[in-house]
Amino acid sequence: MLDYEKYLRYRTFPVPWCPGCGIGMIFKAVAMTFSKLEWEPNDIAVVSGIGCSGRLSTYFNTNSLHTTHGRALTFATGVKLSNPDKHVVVFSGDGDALAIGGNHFIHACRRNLNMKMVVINNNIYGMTGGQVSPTTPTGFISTTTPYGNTEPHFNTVELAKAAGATYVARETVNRPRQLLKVLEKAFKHTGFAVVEVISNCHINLGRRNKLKHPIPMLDWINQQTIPIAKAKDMSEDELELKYVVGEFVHRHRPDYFEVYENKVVKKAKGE
Amino acid sequence: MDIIEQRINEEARKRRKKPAAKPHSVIIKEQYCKGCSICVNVCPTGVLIIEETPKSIFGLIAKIDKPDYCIGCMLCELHCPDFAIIVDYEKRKVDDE
Amino acid sequence: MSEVKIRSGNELVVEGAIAAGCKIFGGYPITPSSEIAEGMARELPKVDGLFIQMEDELAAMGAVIGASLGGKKVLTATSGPGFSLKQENLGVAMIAEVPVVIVNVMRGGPSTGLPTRGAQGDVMQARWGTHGDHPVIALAPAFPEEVFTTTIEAFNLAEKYMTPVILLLDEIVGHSHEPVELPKEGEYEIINRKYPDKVEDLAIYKREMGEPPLRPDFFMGYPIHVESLEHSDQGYPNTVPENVEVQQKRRLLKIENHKNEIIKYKTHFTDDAELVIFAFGSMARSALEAIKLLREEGIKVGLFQPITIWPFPEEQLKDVVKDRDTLVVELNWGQLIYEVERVLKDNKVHSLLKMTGMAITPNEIIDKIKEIKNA
Repeated sequence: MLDYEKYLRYRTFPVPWCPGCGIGMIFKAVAMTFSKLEWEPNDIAVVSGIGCSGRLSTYFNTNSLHTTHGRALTFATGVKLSNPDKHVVVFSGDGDALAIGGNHFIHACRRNLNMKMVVINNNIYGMTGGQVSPTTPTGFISTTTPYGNTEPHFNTVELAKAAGATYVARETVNRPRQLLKVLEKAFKHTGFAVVEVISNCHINLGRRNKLKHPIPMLDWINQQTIPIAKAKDMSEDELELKYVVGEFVHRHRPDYFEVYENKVVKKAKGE
Repeated sequence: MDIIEQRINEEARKRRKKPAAKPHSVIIKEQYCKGCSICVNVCPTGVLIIEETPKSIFGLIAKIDKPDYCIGCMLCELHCPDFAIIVDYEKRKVDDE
Repeated sequence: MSEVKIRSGNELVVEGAIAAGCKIFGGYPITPSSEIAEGMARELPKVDGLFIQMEDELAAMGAVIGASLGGKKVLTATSGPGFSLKQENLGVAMIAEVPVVIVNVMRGGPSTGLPTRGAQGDVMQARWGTHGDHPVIALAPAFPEEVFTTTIEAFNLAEKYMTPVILLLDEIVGHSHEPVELPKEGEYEIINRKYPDKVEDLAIYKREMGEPPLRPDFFMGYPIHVESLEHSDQGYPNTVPENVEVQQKRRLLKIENHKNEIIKYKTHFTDDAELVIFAFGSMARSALEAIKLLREEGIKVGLFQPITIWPFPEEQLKDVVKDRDTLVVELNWGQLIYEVERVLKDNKVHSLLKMTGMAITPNEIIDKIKEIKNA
C-alpha cells in the first residue's frame, strides 16, 4: 500500500494542479491501490481525457494515454480490446465524463468491459477557467452562469447504475481511507467499475461561491456528505444537494471477452 | 499569510496535547509543497504549521513544528495532493530520483 | 485453375484487411460502407480477431487508435458524415503517430446528402479534415483487384510510417460486384511496424528528421506516454517553441521525404496520347472506357490514374503529361483540379466536374473530349 512511488513518473513532477486541488490526493489513492494489488506498472494503462483530471496520465509511471475531450473511454476500450488481460484505468472529470463524454460513459457502462473509471467530480470546468458543468450545484455562480446556475444536475451514480455498470461507488477527497477501500473493491471487481470522487475546486468553483480556500471548500463538501446507510431513510428533497457516499452497485455480469470467446469466436470457427 | 491560514495554525496548536509515546518521522519535500495547508488542517496532534516563504508558488509552505508529536496516523500523507509529505521516510524503501 | 470470384469493393476491403493482418475493427453503421463492418464482424473472429460496433464513428476512431497502441493492426470504415465525426480523433493518430487505416466510402454530400450515391467530394477533407498541420496518406483504388491490393498497401504504409492512412472508395467502387482474381498469399508484401531493440531514456519520438518513430507499443515493458498535446522526444506534454518546431517538422517530413516511395499511380495509353485525362477511383474506369471508344475513332487520349491522392503525385503527373492538354474528370464540383492546375500551371487544364448522384459516363467524357478537340 505504501510502496506507491513506483507508480509515479517523477521525471514529470511536480504535478501541475492548483495548491490544494483534490486531484493529487485521488492520484495518490489510486497509486496506493495499485501498490496494494501489486499490479505491475507495465500491466497498467492509464487513460485520461481533457481537463484538469486529464493531465493525470502524464504523471503515472505506467503505459499512459492522454486523449481528446470526453473520449478517454473510447480509446481505453480499444486498449482493453487489444490486451484483455491488462489493467485499463480511465480518469475523467465531470465535464469530460458527463457532458461531452456522456454518450461514451453510458455505453461503457452498458458494455461492461473489465475497465475501471474514476470520475473526478469537482462540479466545474476547472481547466478552462470555471464554466458551469453538468454537476454544478443549482444556484452556484460560474463564469457561464453569472446569475447562478439554474439547470438541474446529473447524479453520476444513478446514471452509471441505470446504464449497466456492475460496480458503482462514490466517495469524496475528505475520506481517503474510505476512498482506498472502494478503489480496491472496484479494481478487484471483474466488469466496468465506476468510482465517482467528489473533489474540491476552490479556485474556479469555490472562489465565486464564498469558498475560495481549500479548507472551507473541503468543509462545504463534508457538510454535504451523507453515508449511504443514513441516506436510506432520507427523502429525495433532503438529499437534493447532498453527496451520498458508499457502495451503490456490486453485481456480476459475464465478462465481455468470455462471452465473445464462447459465443462469437467458437461459432465463427464452427466449433 | 491570510487570516484563514493563521486560524488553521491556531487550531493546530490547540490540538497539541503531549508528545507521542513512539514518535514517527515526517519529511516535507519543499520542492513539491505548494502551501495549501490541508496537511496542517488534518494533523490531529498539531505537528505541522503553515509558514510564509518566497520559495513556494503562493508564498506559503508547510513546516514541521512539533516533530515529536507525530503519532504516525498518515492523514497528512493521505490528504496531500502534491506528494510533498511522507511519514516514516527511512523505514519505507523510498527512492526519489 | 484461376480462382475468379464475384466480389464488391466493400468485400474486397474486408479480404484485403484480413490478408494484411488486421485484427481489430471498430465501426459504426453508415451507408454505403456498412458491408465492410458486416464483413469484418464475420471474418475477424475466424482469425482470432475482434469486431466491435461502437456508439458512434468518433468512438470507433478512438477505439481503433487505442487498439493500435495496444499492438494490433486496426481498421475503421465509414462514409462522409462519419468521416467528419472522426476528424478530431484522427488528429490524435496524426500527432502521436499511430498506425490506423480509415476507409471512407464516399457518398453524395454535403450533410446527409445522397447516402446511396457515389461521389468524390471528400478529397480535400481527407487532406485537411482534421485541424492543424499534419501529414496525410490517402489512397484511392478504382478496379476490383486494386481495392484488395490498395487495402493491403494502406496497412503497409500505416505500419511503415506510423501514421493514419485514409482509403478513399466511393459508393460505385464500394458496391459494384464484379469478377476478380486476387493474388495468393505470399504474392503480396506484408509490412509490420518495427520496434526499437532498446529504448534510451524513453525518447520514443527521437529520430532522424523525416524518419518514422521507432516506438514500442503499450505493455512491452516501457512505461510509455502517448499524448494528444504537442509532446517532447519522450512523448510528455511540451510546448516549448524549439521543441514544437522539431516535432512538427519530423511528422511532416516523414511523409514528404518518402513521397516517391509512397506515391503509386497508373498510366493507360499515355505514350501516344494527344490529351491526358486525370481521373481516379470510379471516374478512372469511366475515362478508360471512353478512351477505348475514342481510339476506335482514331482519337488518341490517355489516362493518368493516381492511386495515391495524398501526397499528391506532382512530379509523376508532370513527367507523364509533359506539355499536353489535360482533362480533369471528378465526381464533385472541383477539388483535386486545384492541385492539377497548380502542378500543370503551364498546361491547358480542362474540366468535367459533376456531382448529381449519377456517375459521369464514358459518353459524357467522349462528348467533352470532342468538344475540346473541335474548340
